[in-house]
Amino acid sequence: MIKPSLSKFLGDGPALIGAYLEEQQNLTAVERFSGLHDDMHALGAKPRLESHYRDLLPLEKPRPGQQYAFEVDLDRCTGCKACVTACHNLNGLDEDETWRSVGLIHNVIGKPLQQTVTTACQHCLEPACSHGCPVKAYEKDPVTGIVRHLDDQCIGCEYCILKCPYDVPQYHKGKGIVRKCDMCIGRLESGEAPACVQACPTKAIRISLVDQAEVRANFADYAALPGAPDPAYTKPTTRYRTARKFPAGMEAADAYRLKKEKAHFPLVFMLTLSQMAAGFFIALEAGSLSGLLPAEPFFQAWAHALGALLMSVAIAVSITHLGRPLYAFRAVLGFRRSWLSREIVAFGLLGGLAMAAAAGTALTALIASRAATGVPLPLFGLEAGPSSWIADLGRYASAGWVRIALAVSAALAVHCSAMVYRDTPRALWATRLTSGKFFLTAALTGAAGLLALISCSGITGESIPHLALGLTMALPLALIAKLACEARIHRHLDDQEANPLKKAALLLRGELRSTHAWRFNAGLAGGFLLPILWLYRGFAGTGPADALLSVSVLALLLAGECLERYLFFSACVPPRMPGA
Amino acid sequence: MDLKDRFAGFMRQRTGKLTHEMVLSPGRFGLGKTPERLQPDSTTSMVCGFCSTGCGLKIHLKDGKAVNLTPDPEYPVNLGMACPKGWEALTPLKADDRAALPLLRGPDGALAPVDWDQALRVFTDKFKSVLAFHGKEAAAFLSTGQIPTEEMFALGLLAKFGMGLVHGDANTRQCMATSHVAYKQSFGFDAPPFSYKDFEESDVIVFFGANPCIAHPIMWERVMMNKRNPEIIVVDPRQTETALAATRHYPLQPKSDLTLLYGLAHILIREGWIDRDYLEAHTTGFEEFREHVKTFDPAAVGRITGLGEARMMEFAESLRPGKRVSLWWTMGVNQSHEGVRTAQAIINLALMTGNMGKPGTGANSITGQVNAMGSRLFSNTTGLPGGREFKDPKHREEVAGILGIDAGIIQDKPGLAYDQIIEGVNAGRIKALWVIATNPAHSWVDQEDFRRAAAKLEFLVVQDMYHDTDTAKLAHLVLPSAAWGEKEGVVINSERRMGLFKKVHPAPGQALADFYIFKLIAKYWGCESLFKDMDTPEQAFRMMARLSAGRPCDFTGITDYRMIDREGGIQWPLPASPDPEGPGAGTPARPIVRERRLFEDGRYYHPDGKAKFKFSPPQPIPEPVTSEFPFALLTGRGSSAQWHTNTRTGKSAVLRKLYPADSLVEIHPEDASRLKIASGDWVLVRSRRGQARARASVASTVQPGQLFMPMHDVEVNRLTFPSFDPHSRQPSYKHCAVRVEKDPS
Repeated sequence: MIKPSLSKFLGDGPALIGAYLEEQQNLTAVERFSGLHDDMHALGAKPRLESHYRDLLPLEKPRPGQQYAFEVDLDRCTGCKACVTACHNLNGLDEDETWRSVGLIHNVIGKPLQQTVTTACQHCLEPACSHGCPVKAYEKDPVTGIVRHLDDQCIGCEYCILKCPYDVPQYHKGKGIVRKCDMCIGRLESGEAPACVQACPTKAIRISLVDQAEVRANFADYAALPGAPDPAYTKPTTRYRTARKFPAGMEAADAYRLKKEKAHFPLVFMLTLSQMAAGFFIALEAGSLSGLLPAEPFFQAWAHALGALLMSVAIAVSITHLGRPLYAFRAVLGFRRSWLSREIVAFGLLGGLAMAAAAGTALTALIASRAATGVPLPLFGLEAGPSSWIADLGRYASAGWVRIALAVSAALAVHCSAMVYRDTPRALWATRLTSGKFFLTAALTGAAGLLALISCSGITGESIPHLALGLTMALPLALIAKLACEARIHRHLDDQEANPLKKAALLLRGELRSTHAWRFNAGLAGGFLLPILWLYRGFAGTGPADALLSVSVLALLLAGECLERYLFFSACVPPRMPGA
Repeated sequence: MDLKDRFAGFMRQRTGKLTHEMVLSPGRFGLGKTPERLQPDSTTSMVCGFCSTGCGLKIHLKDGKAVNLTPDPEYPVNLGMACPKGWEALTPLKADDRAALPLLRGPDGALAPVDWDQALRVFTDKFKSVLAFHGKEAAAFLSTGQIPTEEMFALGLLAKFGMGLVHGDANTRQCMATSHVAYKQSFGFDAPPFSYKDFEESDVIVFFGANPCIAHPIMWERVMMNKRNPEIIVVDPRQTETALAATRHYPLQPKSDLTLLYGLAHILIREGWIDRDYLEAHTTGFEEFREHVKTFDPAAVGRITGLGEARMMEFAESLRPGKRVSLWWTMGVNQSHEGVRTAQAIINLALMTGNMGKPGTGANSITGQVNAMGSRLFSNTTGLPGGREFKDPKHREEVAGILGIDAGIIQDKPGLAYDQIIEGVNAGRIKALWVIATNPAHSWVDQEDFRRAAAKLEFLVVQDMYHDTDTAKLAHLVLPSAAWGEKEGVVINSERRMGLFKKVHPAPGQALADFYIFKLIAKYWGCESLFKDMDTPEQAFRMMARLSAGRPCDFTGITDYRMIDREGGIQWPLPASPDPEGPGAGTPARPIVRERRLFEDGRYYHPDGKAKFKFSPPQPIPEPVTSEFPFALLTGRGSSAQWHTNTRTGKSAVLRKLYPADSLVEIHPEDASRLKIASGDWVLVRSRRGQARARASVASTVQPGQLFMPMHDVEVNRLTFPSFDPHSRQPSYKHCAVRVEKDPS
């Protein structure tokens, strides 16, 4: 051993540390090895991997009626997942963004068999993402058939994510938009292979030309894998080839994986509040037009103002859901096809009419009250007397036809909301029960809202006690109908296969169990126990105790409906390509 | 009109900032299109830093700094492909928990930053005082297969010849020790004979305890490039991804592989399916071996292995001479209580059938870590540099002569092996431990054993790129290392190819290349004269080349790093022209062949030039299953996106998406239904040593009575049983007895 002689050398230790730290920060690869690599590649612009992927691309451009499609040779895919990372790197995606995924299907019972499955956008013939987009941010390229996303057009509503059965569009939080696979169209245009095709070590992915008529006729042959979503919905174009025969028991490896889905809180509140506003307006106008509710101007003014406020809050909340709310106005573009676009228009209409009616009733009430004192209302420097054109404006804005339109647009808004979810490939949503649930939410919360308004406002009238009694008795009935709608899902617990409905039911009994219980408790307390108690106690119309009771009923019902809507989202297991 | 267009553009915006972010630019440097915002202004190629495949990665540089990478199409190993780890290799460098300053455990028990000067003083003071008080065997180091050879070499010199430590080992003990010993005994030198081209040139490819689809996807790429329509045979208790992709799978009983191999040899001899000429000319010990396997009657072997006699015959028939048969193994064989004999039984099959030294043949060990091969040759732990022996006085003289040190300071026997070092700590004989770029608090077989040891140490130093690995958390002193991509050096892959690491990324804070940390320690210790001719890694490389002269691994023909770079890596051996004064001076003795195999002339490295048959009777499984612990737990690689203890791969958000978030245990449907376990349920797996919690994955990929757990989860090695191959001291990770039950909580 070399003799330690510490003292002799220690003096210049720190200097050496400094020198090494400096040297460490000096990046030397270019300087030391320059020339070698870049010279080697000065052989023109031709990509060096071209020979690897030449036979993985079609020789010709698509002819009319044809399009590009992914084709996967399952017998060559061994699940190395290089395609996922190559797509990520070669497209410069953000940190955790991926446009391709690799899943697994397997046979649990019997002869063991498993198969990894690589998936990206299916570039469907009938792209649901595009059909659902309220701002027309998708287009199917007429030449290549590639389903492209216009990033700058997107408002970040995420509806395409709910629409796509293949979990393809990915929301980018930082940018507030969705992005997705474009089959590396920029590469294809210049004869290069898409990132995944370039990077597959075993050449399992290729680009082929498909005849769109053939895909349409034989759609069941595309994206056809055990556990894959029903291809009828979008007519996907990816063909999975294998020489193997999959036994009947093959299923996605994550078929039994249960995990609650994203709750979309802004949508939970937006739906509940807008439906309450809608229900409230329908009840209010029905009551007013039938004469059950008094035409007392200030009551009408307050009622409409509160309803309009509620609807405005709902709209404001819905806008917070958008990734790029500044561009929300574009949402009218998709009206011809997208229920989301229609919902937004219907909300706008309802909001507008509610504002008009609120302003009209307020104006009428103010002018009337001033007229009683004999001093006309000063407005914009004008004297607004009961017979002035301003008063006429107020009357027009709160005329019977406006109120009818208001009630009709309220119903329309609820219908559009329901259709937004019914028009998805998600089994829990794509049913008439969704309409039932939404309209019953409107009925419950709208009725409770009107009841609370009556009780708190101290309004009197001959018919008020009857109306209040009627509303109070209607609540338990509506609640029972609502809970019945919701309880239908539990029938699917006995389903043999692990379908999305069974999984929803299992989630409600599992991870979401306590929320589910709270939802029922809140509903029963607000919609059943308190109304019964109220009826038993004897309805006094107005008074502090009634006000307290009515507000409690409303609060409990609202809470219950919000929880129901939370479960509506978080228990909704979407169709997906096999994962895990 | 203009206004109308503007309105239309505002309503329907086809392009803009967000669109522009995704634009691809026409690629320069033959890259094809690359993202515009990551356009390189130059590129350079270097070897990936994870596994022993040793793929070339083309680093995209902007102002000399790596901004992206793509696999190198020119590199002869991977031909433009990479696995997810390679694609994501730059991401772990940017993690938040990089060690950026030395950390010292203060009196309050917490690690706090100190400057390098203080860290180095503490290091030298502590080690010197431990050695002074407790003797020269009281301190040890545990190194790695993850750093370049120059750094392993520098560590070996510093620790053994500078600091005077007697004991040091590396995590290559956990991965390659078995192959190292098997080759050394059979061939006379640790020399994996193949090149990856052999995958493409075989008629029959047999994998023993190897799952290349997941563990070495690029080697599988080479298998898929085989145009000879090969028979691909997988021998593995579990139906792995590779077993599914193969043409034949032999799901033998765990740890019955040695019996199987002797049974196959028995049939081959009985049927005369052997190459007598080759045996005669190039091997010794065959007659004894023939006697030995006589008792391995196929019927009995068929019973023990669970394969049955007919499948044994079918297997043996595919090995009969006339076809090019290559035999490959990795951890399923290496990590065994009798791994060396098993590997040698594979070698014996190749020798018997003459499947050596020809295209598409060989008894081929697929290595694990990126530089396990460098460690095997130059780490100065189990042997002296250049594949020399401590116990050989001539070897000690040679090394001392070249290094300019006194041969008397070189120990005359190897130091303790990994398990013996930990045992030494637990017994109180070893008081100070220095761990470099490895994570035994996670990876050590029977992990608690290491953790107990760590608690007993007076001084534990961890030198790593992260300050919060399982082991760094236990340290008294953490030294921050520069990582792959932040330093230079040479690594050696499975097919003996020397490739380069380059400096393309700045190290965080005050992290330093391990090479320079070792040099600083030498300075503070007072032994820097050891490195007087080794200011840079490249100079250390030249010193190693001198040490390789005349050895089987002779690479004196490699003049510098640029030559390795230019050639796309160079396989050893590449001796220099023998005439130092002649016209060929300083050039290789023969032209560089891109892919070359060994033993084409049938000459092995034993003094008689022949390969040896090595064998001994199979030993019982160290921890057989019992009624209390009725399951055999198998462990292995979980996915292609994970590397070892996941310290690096866990830092990439993309890689994290590619493997399950929770620990996993595979269980056969019959066992699962009996225990009322469903897929996705949390279960507890217990062994006599500890317990692990994992989610059940019910799948018939494992056989009844067996469980499989991926090794990347920290809990797995709470279960594994510490038994060791007697020749290689490699731990047997692949088999222990456990029980499993549904987690009641």
